[in-house]
Amino acid sequence: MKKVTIATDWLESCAGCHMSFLDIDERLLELLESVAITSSPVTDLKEPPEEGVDVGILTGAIGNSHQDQAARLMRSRARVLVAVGDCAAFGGICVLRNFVEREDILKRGYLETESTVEGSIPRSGDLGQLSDKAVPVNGIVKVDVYLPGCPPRPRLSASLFRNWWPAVFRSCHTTTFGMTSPERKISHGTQDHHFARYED
Amino acid sequence: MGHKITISPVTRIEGHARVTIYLNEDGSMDRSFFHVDQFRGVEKFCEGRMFFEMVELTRRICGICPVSHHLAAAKACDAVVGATPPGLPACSGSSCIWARSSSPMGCFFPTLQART
Repeated sequence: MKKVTIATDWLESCAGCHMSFLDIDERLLELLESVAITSSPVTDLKEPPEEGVDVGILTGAIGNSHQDQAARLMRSRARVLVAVGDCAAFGGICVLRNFVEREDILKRGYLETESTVEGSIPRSGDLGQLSDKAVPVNGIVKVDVYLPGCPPRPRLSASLFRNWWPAVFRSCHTTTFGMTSPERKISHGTQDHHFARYED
Repeated sequence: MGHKITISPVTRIEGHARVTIYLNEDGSMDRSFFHVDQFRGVEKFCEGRMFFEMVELTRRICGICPVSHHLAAAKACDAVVGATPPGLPACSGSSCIWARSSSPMGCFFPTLQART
């Protein structure tokens, strides 16, 4: 049987969602029988492969220009995009900063921190430019599946792979590989989104 | 202007790092930068919140080592209210730290690569 290919990346997140996924322990070995992981923060492949993947998994909100690009790239190369964790699904704690002006946040973090001696706000063009507001992944690209939780319970991650793929693939069957525009409308059959439930 | 090499993401570490290397015309290195450019503004948005929320907020700084952040915030909260925890909670806090640092989590990453 052909393995389901997966690409994953973290955006403005704490890595807790990936850690939670690893907490499925020995079920991970069972999972790897049917799943092939292509790009991830810990493998050597940096970006989702050009030929596309079946499932793209993003954790974390989007708060700067690099994360924006990473999310769009993942959307264009993934047949099904899964937003894992509260930050990716709803913004989580990342959107708490939206109540404050961007310059005030930078000033507090880089200049006024109690431990800072001679601080300066980094403005290099090589750095990702901090956006005015942090947004969940669906603020930038279309998301197919949401897996909320901070972090999602390991059991939930496991059941995502074990029980839901048939349903997810059926409803996303019209989504094609190699989409050039992330804004492209994707047909989802009768159901718009799948929300995760603890039912395994 | 010479060549520019970007290594992103830098693997084998936790975090969102990248390395940019600028080369001269002859291929020698001109400048190099190590960027860790994720910035969530935790310092700012924690201001004005209830102190007991810090225990939950600060552990989201890092999902790999949330226990350390959690316990640090708990100790700070203890100091704010001027309380000294009795022996057992203090002891369970330290054992929690040791449990976390000896977690076999690290073994899973190599397994992941070997199997795919």
